[in-house]
Amino acid sequence: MKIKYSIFVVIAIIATFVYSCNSSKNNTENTDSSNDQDTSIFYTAKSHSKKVKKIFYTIPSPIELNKLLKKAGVIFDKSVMNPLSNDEHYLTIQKLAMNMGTYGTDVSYARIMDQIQISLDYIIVLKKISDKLGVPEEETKDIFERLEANINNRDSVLQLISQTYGNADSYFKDNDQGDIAALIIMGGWVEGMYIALNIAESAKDKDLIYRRIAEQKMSISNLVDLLKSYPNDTLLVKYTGDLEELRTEFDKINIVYKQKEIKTDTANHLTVISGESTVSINQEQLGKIKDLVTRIRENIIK
Amino acid sequence: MKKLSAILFLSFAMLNILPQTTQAQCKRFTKKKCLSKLPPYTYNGQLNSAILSQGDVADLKLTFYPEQKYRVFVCADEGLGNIEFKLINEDGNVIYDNENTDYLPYWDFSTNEAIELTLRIIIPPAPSDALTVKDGCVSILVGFKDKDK
Repeated sequence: MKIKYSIFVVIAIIATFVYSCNSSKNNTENTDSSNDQDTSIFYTAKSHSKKVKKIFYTIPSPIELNKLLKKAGVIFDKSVMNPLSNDEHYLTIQKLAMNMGTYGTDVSYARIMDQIQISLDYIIVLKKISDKLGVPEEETKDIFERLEANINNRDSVLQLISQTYGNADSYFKDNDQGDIAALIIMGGWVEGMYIALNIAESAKDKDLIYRRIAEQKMSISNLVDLLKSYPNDTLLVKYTGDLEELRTEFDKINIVYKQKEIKTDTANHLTVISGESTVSINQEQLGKIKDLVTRIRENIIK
Repeated sequence: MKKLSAILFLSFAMLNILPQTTQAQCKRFTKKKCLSKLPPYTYNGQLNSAILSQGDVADLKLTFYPEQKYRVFVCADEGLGNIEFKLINEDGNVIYDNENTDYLPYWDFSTNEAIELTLRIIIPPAPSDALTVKDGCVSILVGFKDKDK
């Protein structure tokens, strides 16, 4: 009996050791597989020497790009939005997630362009998709009610859409489904790019839109790295390939930035960064980016 | 004997569940304690949180656009001590370091050109005589708002 007990104790110790290793691996997830170069950087300023662990990824919100479209004076075009009728085709969790992203971007585009009724119609579909995805109603019910009640207040609507995204993001990450959260982000980003590329021609300030499209070069690397951190999700692997192709096109765009001045206003907790940048993008590059984005988006929304 | 097996089985189950539970608690901590401090900035909808240990360093790449102002908020478990965060440009120069502003957990940024920066989070190391290394939840929240507001 004593021997058997000892065996169990040994097993328990091994299990604890295995857990410790897994725990440490979980803390560094999203890094080691895709960012080998980061693991060679060491932080040595403090007494402990530690590896830099690049574990966080963030992509600019599609709302930022949509706000810019309004500023550049584009004309609203409903045909660039993912048609509402498409929502019936989305049956898998992956399709639903990607299109929670596309419809979320569409709602913000419509609302920023002051299309109240269209925004409301898209909010209803967004709610439907959120329910199908299983995001708990106690997290979303209040938000969707407030969205409808505050539809005339643009800023409130944008805050609430971000909150909807945030709730879904944390719900999937909580449930060890970071890949699903990544699909939502990808769907939203691709839809934002698709809208910008397709309505840029109607803008009063086309150059401003082309410039901001070119500057998405900064975001696409982060997006690709985020997707690469889920190598076991076959759909994400497929889209990673497509987005890598898109990144190759973005890499051909030349952006030169020179920093000039940094002013920190301690009283207002604000740092203002001044610099000068030149962005070179030609129509051929724009055309290729547009074709690739259109192809990726077609696969997402079909 | 059966009792012992049951206890060991439960222990195994607990060991598997524990990491997920801790991550979930971290997300709940963020939602409860951190998100409310972001307004009037609009939350970008991406929850970046993890359990980090004393002495850990983490990076996050950020893109700022000239039309917006941004708030970066590093919300962490108090047990981890003063969390340092700095914003570094692509040449490796430090643009802002909260060590110079009494480790304030948030700061606002504005830029006249689109720029990519790295946010580096540094968890203070455990004292050299400490027997254990503490860990706790760290969340990075990013908010944005129109520059003219």
